[in-house]
Amino acid sequence: MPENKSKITEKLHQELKELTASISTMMEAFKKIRQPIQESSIKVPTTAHHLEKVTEQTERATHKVLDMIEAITNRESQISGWTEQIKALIPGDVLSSKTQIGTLLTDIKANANDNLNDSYNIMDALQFQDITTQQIDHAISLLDDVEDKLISMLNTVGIKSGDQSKIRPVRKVKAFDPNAGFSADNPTQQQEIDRIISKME
Amino acid sequence: MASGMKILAVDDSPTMRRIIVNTLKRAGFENVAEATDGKDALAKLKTEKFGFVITDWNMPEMDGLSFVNAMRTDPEFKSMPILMITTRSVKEDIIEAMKAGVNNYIVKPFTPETLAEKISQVLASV
Repeated sequence: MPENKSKITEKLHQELKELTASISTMMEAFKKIRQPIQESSIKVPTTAHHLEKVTEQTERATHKVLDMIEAITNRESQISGWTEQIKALIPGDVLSSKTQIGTLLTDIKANANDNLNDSYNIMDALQFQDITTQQIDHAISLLDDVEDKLISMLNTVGIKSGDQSKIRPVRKVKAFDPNAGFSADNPTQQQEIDRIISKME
Repeated sequence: MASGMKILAVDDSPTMRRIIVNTLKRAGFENVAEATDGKDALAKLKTEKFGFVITDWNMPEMDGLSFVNAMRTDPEFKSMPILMITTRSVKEDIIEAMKAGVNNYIVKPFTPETLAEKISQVLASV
């Protein structure tokens, strides 16, 4: 019996030794991945913060362009109106004479109208800003998920994750369409929508 | 076209609101107010008189669909024309919005011609 007990003790001792070695190996492995996880838990909110800055700056720039478009369209509308006023002030025989005044005024008005239409086309194209903002917001929400999971992993093993609030104090509430896209084929897309609606009626 | 009618443009994007307001003015609708989401829009509907609503779908606080549902359950706004302008182009979304009570649906990016055409269609149908 004592001999049997000794064998069990020896086996138990051996198993505990192996278990300790395994835990040590695991601890070493964890020490190696701890650093990258901690770094990532800082890098992810930094990236999200940069993306938010991109959105803010793009929005500011878009509004500057809109300011300029509004100023241009106001001036071009005035020019277009002035040509008509000038025509009204010039006697008919002068306008129709070979002085080319009438032709020049017509050309000025046509150019002003072309500028107006081009400006409006630029304004319409600026809708891209809303669509890219939604795409970026979607990317930010995915980064937020990754950040939460990394912090949760670190907390589980009792490691502090660093102060994310210093990097990005507030997570803004965002609403976005994850599938938002700037389709080059918009008329076809709208026609398809119109077809769906007409089938419902 | 009822150009004297007051329109409420609801979108959380300041850029989109500005483009919609400009496009409406070009189409002859000078009287346009703005709201940033459904909650803001409902508050404005309670204090000002509107004849037409243009709304986005994806907005914080109260999204476009909840806003449309809220309007349709309120006797005061039950039959007010609503046009939805959104990036959402999936068939199921369009059906859901129409069932909720929008009168027509435009996908972003939209053209001024499409906006004017849809407003005319909606006004002719109500």
